[in-house]
Amino acid sequence: MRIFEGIKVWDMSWVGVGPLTARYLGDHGATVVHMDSAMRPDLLRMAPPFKNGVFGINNSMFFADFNCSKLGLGLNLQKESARRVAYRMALWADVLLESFTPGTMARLGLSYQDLAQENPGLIMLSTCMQGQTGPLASYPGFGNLMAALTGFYEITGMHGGEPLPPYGAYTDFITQRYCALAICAALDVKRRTGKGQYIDVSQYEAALQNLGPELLDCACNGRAITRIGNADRHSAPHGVYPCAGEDRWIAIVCRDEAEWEQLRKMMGQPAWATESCFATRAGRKDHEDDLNRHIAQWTAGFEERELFHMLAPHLPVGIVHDQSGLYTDAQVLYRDFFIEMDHTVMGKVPYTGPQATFSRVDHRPTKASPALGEDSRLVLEKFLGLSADEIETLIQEGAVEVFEAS
Amino acid sequence: MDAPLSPYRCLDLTDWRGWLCGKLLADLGMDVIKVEPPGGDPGRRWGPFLHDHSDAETCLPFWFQNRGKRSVTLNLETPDGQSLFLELVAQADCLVESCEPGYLASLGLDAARLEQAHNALVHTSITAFGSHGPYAQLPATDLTLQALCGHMYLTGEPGQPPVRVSAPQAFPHAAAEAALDTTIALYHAKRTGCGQHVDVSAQLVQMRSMMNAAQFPALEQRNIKRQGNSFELGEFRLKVVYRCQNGFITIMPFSSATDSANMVALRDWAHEELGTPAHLEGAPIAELNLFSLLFEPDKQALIVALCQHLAGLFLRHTKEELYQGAVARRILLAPINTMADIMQDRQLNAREYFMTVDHGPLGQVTYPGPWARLSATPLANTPRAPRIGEHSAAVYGELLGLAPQRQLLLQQLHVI
Repeated sequence: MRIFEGIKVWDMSWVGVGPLTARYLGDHGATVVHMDSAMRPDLLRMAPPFKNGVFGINNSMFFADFNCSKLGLGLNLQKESARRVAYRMALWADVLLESFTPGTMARLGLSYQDLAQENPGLIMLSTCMQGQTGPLASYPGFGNLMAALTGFYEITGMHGGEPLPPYGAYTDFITQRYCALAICAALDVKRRTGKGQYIDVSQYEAALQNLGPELLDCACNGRAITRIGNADRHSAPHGVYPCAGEDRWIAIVCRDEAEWEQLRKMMGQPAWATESCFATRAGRKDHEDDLNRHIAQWTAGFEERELFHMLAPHLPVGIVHDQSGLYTDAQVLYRDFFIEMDHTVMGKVPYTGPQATFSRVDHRPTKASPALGEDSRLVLEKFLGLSADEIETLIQEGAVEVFEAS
Repeated sequence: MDAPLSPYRCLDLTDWRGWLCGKLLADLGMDVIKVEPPGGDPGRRWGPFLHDHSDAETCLPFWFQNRGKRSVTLNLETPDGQSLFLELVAQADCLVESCEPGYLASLGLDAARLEQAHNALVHTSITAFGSHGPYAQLPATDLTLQALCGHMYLTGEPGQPPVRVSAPQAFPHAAAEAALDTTIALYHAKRTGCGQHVDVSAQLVQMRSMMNAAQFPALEQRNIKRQGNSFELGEFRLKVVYRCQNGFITIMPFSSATDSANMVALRDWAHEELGTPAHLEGAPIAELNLFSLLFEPDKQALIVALCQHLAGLFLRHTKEELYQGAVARRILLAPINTMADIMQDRQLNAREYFMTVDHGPLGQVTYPGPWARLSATPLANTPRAPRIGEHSAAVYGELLGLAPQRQLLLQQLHVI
């Protein structure tokens, strides 16, 4: 039994935020139909990693990981008959997600106002860079540009160095949770009252929730924080240190004297560590460059796993995992995080699993992601009640796209 | 119009790691009761503070992440405190906490006892690694979690150490995930009468920030590497952070898989101001898109040459001018904003994102506002974060029916 069994989701969104939001619902058992088109391919279908490194629209794990637990409907919205299918899907659905440029849904005849007349229980979420209203509503973008606007570039990088992008479309992976949270709260309202509603999520506004304390510091004290590498404002050591081998690193933190004493013990009480300048937290912070150089000399003689096992019970340490490291991390394995499922084209590939466990319900992905148009016939027949002839006509017109195994 | 989750009450036993979770549930309308030890949550002692004046009632992270909550003090390490806690649990719909794994059980407040107090309770734990498993008892901080989730390895300059985001990220991500999972579990509890334990792992939560990276070893038998200030397109890397007159900006090298409007518009802009150098004269800029940049070496060389030329354009302008010009020309370019820039942002202010919260004698304070706009049940415009135990009398009196004398006695016994 899954929590959202029976909830119907029409996912017209693409790229990051919308598809991941819908994936939460699908993992919890909702029936999610994801829209797709070879005429307007999702960027993620064109981006790696690809199965065996071979480019192909149905070979991208990037797309697959964001779209498991969903059925796939291929729909070319250039066609009037495809737009009618999209409309009927919106009447079928409890939840509709879209991430077009603001105004697009209205042009497609799919505005919330129109849909709600026929389907008053509909919860419709629009997510875009900067929200549905305001002077920059229709300014397009991606999460990596948004990470610059929201200040994440400014506060990433070495002290005194140039700003750096945090890897990926960073703000996408904040916003998706806020979108899902808003939808789930609205689903509870619908459960109680039968009523739906419209939700506008600006990626800009949602992502800044991760920087609330920093923005308050700016508002109250006029302080705009900037990048300080891996340092902390008060504690030292607080950094990333090299280990034996190429590009191997470990993060080490001493929050207080007890943890510093533990580290000194593990290092074998070297003479430098007893120097008076390192005796207090403030002193270590003042002489942080020297401190880090000494520690780095010590860590460089060990493999990162060896150091982790030695230090982890006593003070906060973390292997700086490369991607392979995630697959052998004891805790990741314990949580059974990567889940192999059989994709129609890629075969068995590992999907990311739940970030939280629920003690009484399953919410591991329900199925592999669809190949483009893989479930078109099934969706049209089962959910919209179209006849085989009607479906074939739509396919002939190029309105509906179907997957053909080659 | 009430906020969407206004029928519900949440008991919030989190420390700084989980504060944001209860704040989001309060935004959604829940009555969130923060349970603090007598003397206050130790996290109140960490800055930054209002006007840099160190005081438990002026801690800014506390203010932001505890807005809209009520506060009671309660000493959980006394038997009377534990019974009061269970009485509160019976009056709540959910409990969120970020205690060390095993701590509640060590007080006798284990899963069975909580269920006995309230059989439809949703109990959400926010921890570094989850409540069980080989790392469950290990100490962790934001830095060590950013390392262990795999995101940090990918951030930083090639040849330099990996680098984290210089503001705590792991637990804000995890707290938002906890708010989401609590809401999902509560939906279930209200429909079926069945509560449960939700166990959030900050390590796994932040692994989501790796975007597409985690599966490279499984799919392509390789690890991808840090790319500094470059955008990675397969094996090809393009510098996307550029200096301008008063800071930095960043660009997207393509508009979509097949669309090159972005680079064409940038070329045109540079042409207007700088002319076009001979080596770019007649160059097929319109053929630069995700697809060609991934697979065609001549297009990769072309965009490098074009970007070198554009660097001159960027240096002529401020980031505000470049952003404005980019918006007008529909070019994908963003200023690298500071916190101060964000507070002045035209779009955020047009949408009245920032809100004023009344802190009484401490004044009016500007806060980041709603993270979603719900048409029928908007987020609550909640009051400031509570002072230590500000609502003890109301909660213990009205919710648990404790007489004032009894409350006084419990205070003297350091139970509340």
